[in-house]
Amino acid sequence: MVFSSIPFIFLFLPAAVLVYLLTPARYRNLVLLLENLVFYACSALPALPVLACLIVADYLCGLSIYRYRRSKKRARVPLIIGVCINVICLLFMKHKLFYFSFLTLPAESKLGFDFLIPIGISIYTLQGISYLADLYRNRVKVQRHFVSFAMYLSMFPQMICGPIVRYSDISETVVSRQTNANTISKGYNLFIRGLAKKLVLADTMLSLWKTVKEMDYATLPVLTAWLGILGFAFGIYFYFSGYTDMARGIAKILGFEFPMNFNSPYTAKSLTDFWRRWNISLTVWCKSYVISPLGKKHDSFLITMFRLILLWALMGLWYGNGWNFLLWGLVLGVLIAVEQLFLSPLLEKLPILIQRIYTIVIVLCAWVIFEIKDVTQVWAYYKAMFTGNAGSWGELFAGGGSFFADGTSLYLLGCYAVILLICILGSGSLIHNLGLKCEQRSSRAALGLRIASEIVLTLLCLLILAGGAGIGTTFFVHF
Amino acid sequence: MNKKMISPVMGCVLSLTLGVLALVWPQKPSAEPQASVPASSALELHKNKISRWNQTLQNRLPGSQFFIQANNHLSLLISGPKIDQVFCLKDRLVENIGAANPITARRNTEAVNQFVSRYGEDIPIYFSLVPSAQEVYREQMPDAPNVLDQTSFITNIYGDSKQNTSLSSNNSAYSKTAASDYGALQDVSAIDVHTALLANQKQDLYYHTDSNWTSLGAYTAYGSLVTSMGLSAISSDSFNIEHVQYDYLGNLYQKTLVRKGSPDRIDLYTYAPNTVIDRVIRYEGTKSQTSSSMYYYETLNTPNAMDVFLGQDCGVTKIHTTIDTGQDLLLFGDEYAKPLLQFLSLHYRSITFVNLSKYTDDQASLIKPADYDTILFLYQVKNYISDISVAARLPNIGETENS
Repeated sequence: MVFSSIPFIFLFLPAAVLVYLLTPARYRNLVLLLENLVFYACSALPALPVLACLIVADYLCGLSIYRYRRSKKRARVPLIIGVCINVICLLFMKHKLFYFSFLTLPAESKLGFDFLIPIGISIYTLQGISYLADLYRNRVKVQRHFVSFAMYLSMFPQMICGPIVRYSDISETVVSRQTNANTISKGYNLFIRGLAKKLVLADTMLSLWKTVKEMDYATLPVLTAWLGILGFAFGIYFYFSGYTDMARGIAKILGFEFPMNFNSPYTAKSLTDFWRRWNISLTVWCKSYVISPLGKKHDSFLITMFRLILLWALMGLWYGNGWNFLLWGLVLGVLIAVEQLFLSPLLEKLPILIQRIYTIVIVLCAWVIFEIKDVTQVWAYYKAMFTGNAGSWGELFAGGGSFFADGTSLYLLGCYAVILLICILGSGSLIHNLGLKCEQRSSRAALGLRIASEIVLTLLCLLILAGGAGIGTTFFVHF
Repeated sequence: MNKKMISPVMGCVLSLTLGVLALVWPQKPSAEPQASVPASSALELHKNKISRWNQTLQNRLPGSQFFIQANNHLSLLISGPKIDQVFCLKDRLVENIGAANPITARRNTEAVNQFVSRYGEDIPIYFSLVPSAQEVYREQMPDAPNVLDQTSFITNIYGDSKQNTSLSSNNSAYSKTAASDYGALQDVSAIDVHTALLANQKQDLYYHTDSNWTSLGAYTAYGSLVTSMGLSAISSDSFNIEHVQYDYLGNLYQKTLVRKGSPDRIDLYTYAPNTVIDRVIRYEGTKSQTSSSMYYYETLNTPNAMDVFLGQDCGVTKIHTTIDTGQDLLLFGDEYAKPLLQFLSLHYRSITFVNLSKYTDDQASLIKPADYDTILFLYQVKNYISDISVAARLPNIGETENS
């Protein structure tokens, strides 16, 4: 059951929220846990035992860590056991095919490994590890109440695409939280914006990318190649940020405050800046629980760079089980390292526009690696992007424009121009800043505008969903 | 109520209302179940499950047609003139034929070649591929990518076979595949109907709201066909053109719910001097149904109005005429062949029309290819590249003769 589907939007979500809000506060954790389990069962029933086992394992390990809290040495044992269980589950369940591609097994024997990646496994395993690690470091109090702990680990809003919520971020609200008109209203605003991002922007942009992806790269002109990868870049951004906004919005309605996960990453002025704005919760998690334990802040330069590259390799692998994800992470990690080593001082002197162009070009080129699994095809796509498949520079510039654009390029540009413009505006902070200015001038007008936009987006999203769209793009259905 | 709660309450009430209505609303009579692609993996199976669940609820929504229509119009605004493989042009809907499946096309061609090697020595065998509206009206089409160059495809299939063709591909932007990928016909007379269709493209050769060709389109192709088969085409003046329906909205409209241009008119071409049809026998399995006309008027003004020609698709249809030529035709084809039979029936004592996608093994005794004077294969490009039934069933035709 994905968020942008009729069963979820028309049935599960409104019923779940209503039941939750009508439940007395002391029973809300139990009700939310039951709702989480119903969601999980409807989405991936065969994987429910995996979630259940991990919840029990993390809970028991947490109690053991707390029990042996006075002896770090003894507390380390349940920590290591708990972390290992989570890591093994994640590696085996999610990355099985990646690892087995090393082996030359006959196709039939691989079928046994063709089971679904349990939904949300990339989320709740990392959250489980964060809980155990923070507990070990005395950053959080142990959660003795099994229902509350299970509720935290299995929360349905984040099961599709995150964000990864560390226990330390919401430990207080797990125990006690408030819901009122303000939180519900703000939560709904976040949710409906996220849903609109996914249904209108992400799905449309990904259909542009899908069209270009199916073309022959050997005949692709420059404009078509760039339109295609722009489609992917906006598609993946609005897909992820849309789902994250939906998760944060639902969480807010329920009384939780999930951290922001995307901060206008395509307005970044450097790769380092992009890294700080993209999938923030994953970056924070990796830094807190993988990179920091590996070294200190003032380690040697080489060690710091190694940790950076490792960080990005892990982040790449988080997205999926394939060489392309690992390569994407490594390439970005190396480029960020090079930037921090050499380029930062130079970049800062350049005009902001140049910095942004530099960043966006590299990010777009990196997305090619991320999405196209065949390395030879990656190279062919780069060739199309930068040469339009001209045999030489002379041919490129003497070709009369045919290598830059053809009828198909103009057709695609014509079809998607408006939505591309909306994506460009939506991926920046212009609309947000306009909203703030409106708020400063007249809070009443700003509220009216907000309500009007929410109503329009609600009707638009319901129309799109009822018209049968919404589930066509589920390329990251399992995380 | 706090003003901030207007939209959350509205959203919750609307969505829950729609959801409950989708569950309790009386169900419409189920349409023909859509064939689903077998899942090739657990992930595909799961995606199919999500899709089916979503589709079921969406179909049950009251006013679902309105929602689909509105959604499709919105899609036209934000992502161009194509909805679900249908181009919405200014005055017509045109089905997109994307890249050909070389395996299917090659297997079909191999099956035809094998058939020809069994019967081609004694019986003249002809083969014709009919391009779709997308090819004939190419000048009206946008420069969309991933569109099959049907002329190139047809040329590749025809290969070095005895051709009556002036096919040439003149658009390199369309996707092409090497000739060897599709296979090539051998020792069969390939007939070019493309040229005649292109020469008359200003006429309504294809419906504006359906993927099929009109009776006029079929007549246009008929001239090239019968000439190549050594016959003389009957002039259009010899026909009564009966306008039997003026408001037909075909399968492409049903798919998109987008109106482009006027509704279609369905015409029947009946032979003016006299009725030549003696009887038409339709075989579904071994059960047969006999009628005195090839037209099934009761299907008009229904969503299946195209079944006016020979009724619902079935495996074997035998048409017996009063034409005293002594010649019997065996025709392998798809839905494009049905309107064509209005004209072919004027040249043969009998025509056995075999639709291999509906053919069942228990109909084997109905077809003995050696008993026919002429054999014709006529397929539209789209079916030839996507439907494996020619490869799957043609080898079984005539096996009872040989055993």
